[in-house]
Amino acid sequence: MSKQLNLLEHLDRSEALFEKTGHYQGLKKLALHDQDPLHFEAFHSRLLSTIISVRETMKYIASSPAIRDFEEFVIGLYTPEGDAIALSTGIMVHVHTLSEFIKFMIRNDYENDPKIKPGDIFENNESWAGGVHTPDVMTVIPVFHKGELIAWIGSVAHELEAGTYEGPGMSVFSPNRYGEGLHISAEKVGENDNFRKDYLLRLKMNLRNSNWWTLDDKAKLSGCLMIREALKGIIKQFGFEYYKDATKELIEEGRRNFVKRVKTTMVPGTYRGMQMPVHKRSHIPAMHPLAQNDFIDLVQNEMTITREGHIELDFEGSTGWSFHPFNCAVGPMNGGFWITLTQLLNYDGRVNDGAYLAVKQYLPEGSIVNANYGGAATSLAWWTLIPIFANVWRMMGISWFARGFIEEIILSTPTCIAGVSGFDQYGNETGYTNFEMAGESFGARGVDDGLDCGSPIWNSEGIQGDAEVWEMTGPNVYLGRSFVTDHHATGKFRGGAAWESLWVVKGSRLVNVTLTASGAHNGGVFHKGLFGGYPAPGWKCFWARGTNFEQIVARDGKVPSSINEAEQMLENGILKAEEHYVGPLNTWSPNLEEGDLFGVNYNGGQGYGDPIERSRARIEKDLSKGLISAQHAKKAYGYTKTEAGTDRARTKIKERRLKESVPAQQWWRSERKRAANGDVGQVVSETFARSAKLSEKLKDEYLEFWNLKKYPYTETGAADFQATTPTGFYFPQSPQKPYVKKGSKGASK
Amino acid sequence: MTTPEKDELEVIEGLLRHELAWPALFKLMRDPKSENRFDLMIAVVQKMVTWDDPILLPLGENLFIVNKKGKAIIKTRAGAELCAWTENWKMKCRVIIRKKLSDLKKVFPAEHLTIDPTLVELREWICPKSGMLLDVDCVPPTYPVEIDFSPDLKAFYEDWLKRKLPVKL
Repeated sequence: MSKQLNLLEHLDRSEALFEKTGHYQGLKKLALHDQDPLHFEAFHSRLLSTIISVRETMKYIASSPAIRDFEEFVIGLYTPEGDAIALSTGIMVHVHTLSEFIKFMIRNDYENDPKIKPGDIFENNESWAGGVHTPDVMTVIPVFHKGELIAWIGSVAHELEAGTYEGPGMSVFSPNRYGEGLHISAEKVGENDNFRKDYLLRLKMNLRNSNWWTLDDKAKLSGCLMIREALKGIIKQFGFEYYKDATKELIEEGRRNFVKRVKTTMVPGTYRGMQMPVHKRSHIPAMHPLAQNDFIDLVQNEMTITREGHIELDFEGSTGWSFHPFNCAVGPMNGGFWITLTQLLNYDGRVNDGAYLAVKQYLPEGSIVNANYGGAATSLAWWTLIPIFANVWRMMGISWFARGFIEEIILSTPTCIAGVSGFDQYGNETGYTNFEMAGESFGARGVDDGLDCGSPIWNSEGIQGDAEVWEMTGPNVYLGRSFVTDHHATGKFRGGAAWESLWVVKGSRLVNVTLTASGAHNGGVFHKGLFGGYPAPGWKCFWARGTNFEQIVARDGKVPSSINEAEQMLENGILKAEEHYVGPLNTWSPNLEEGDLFGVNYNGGQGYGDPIERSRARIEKDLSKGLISAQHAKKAYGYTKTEAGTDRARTKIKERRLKESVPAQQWWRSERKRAANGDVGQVVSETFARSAKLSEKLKDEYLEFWNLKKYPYTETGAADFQATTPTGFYFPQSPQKPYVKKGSKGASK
Repeated sequence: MTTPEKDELEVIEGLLRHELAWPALFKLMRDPKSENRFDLMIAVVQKMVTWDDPILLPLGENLFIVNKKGKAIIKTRAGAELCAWTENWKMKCRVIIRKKLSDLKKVFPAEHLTIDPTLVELREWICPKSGMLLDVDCVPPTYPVEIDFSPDLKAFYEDWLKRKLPVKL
């Protein structure tokens, strides 16, 4: 780093150059790349292979199953200004969240206090400093060369336990940040390449399973140090000046490639999506008074692909933040956008911050996607992010379809979790999220069905993991882990098949579970499918306390192996329980003990295309695997044993559709009365009112579509108050795009 | 517009008819994205429909923007001409609204169905000519009907494809 400029001045200069020229660091030409492309490629390959191989080594140092077995981590190299140069494989969410963390330190003048010195270690899981949520813990070190800060290396791991109120790593029921666990708020936690003792003691005293976090920290630090050492060799080989200039060119090249890919594979225009995750908490005993309510977070999402090949997301019209852990801030939204970009558009080798320069998000201040209350919880921001960005995948699918790249189309999947808390089979306090959800089934693709048991939106390398690992991790044994017959989203290509796990508590006298899902629970729908594909039929979870499980085992009886089987055995009295729940509401079980049961369904993503266009061969394959019953194959797909019979059944389905349907205008005329009176349930009515409170957009669209003068939804069901935005420090913010009503003077601008 | 190579056309026809074997499909996924894909796709899809109006842009498996005597309109695969390309085509379709549990049970297996119709209703948009399903919306009751995609045809044709837009907008 030049002696004349400090880090903040370098960052300001970099941003000003981009603003002025539209090129990263003002690079109108890629001189090193053009001069010797092979040498340039060798340089990039050296960086990337170093980072990826270091990540593999880190697994052997880490402690938690999240890293060792389920790949929930990433490591990368950053410029002095905090821009991503190259990333390993893994949770790509954090390409830009690490960047925001580094910029947070620069903009809050960490250079002067607490100072940035060789050997320092900084850590963060704070959404105000660019993080997503408390379990995603970032570790960052500066790299110096002859006294100059020349790079940052950062790594993120997802911790299964983060000190939350309930126990698992992500809080489901906390009304604010004060229940979402241990915050490390962009802090210096180590010096001289070692974590400070006071920091390690803090982990020990504030976590239930501090060994996981501590050893994962050491794995991340080791990874950072290995890359730091490797950089010395790379700089020696290529030269320091080449390193500095080539890393900048890599980012500018990333930006150009991104724009080129958009222009080659997509179509400019405006795409629309709407998500409505339903949250219910009024049924939970002893909820915090601030959080004892049922509501929908309506998220309106417009994606614009501009003439220039840039992608912009605008969330105007969405409901506001509230007292729950599903809020998003700029950090989480950047994370969500990045997993989309890296998996769908930027996946061929050059994952860096170049793409960030060609995208923009407009996050209305105070909305669910940009909570501006200092105490807002983001512990389960993913319950908002997953439906939002899965829907962005869907919108991108429309674009690839229009351009003819149907092999690129993929729909994502809701995430469903079982969290466990209490005391484990070793007598220790425990809390963890069972990350087998990382093997969830995809949504449908443009050329095939969704993968049965694939990976979730948030980790393209996610894996379900071995059941035995989870049995060692917590006080529970698997009774079954299996696909669910007839549980998939139908379509010409179907969503991946749902699967479910059922556990029995083993070795503990005190344990409870939180069971929940993203957008698909509480009677909601994750989001719509594509071109006539349906959503999945719903989500289910289960717990049973005070069971006769041990007696069933003692008499060598058949034990349940799935939620539906347990439900049937409860109905016919073979399985007995003092109390139980089975259904779609997210749940916090009572205290369970040895012999009690719990289970969760992991339903796959949405379907693609009209189900009656599904090939008979695909249906027969599903029948042979037991993924569909003959009865449902007939109902959903018009399938019969012969081709001619199937054709006849499908003709009848089409005739029935025409008979049962009405012209849309006719429906509009009859439905208009209902729309005028706002004749909907309380939760929906309050949702529309909450959206209109923050923005006129939904209200205007509603009045225009239904040709009404008066908006019928006024009662939000929420306390009328204003919260204050944090002051006294820099934090990442989003550009704002004031809403302009169609037809108004400003609309033509 | 250049004339597509025969073998390229065959591959894309196989892709769009879902007849490509996995190795060929995988190759297509991994290959650099070809700049003439749009033209190849249009050439194939034009053969797959029974009408002659030139396709300007596919909007879905069974829905297209076409050039109808110099004007851009939205037309279904079966040939129903719904509206001008800028209008809300869904409001020109037939529709089935599933807003009761009994309606939902007609398309979902009852034992797995947990969607709450007081919170979400399904709107099935149906081609008035063929009965094919064009789209399925999942929205809260009374939510306005919106279309998912409004293309910028002018920018697409003139700036990206570098050719004259064959219709007057």
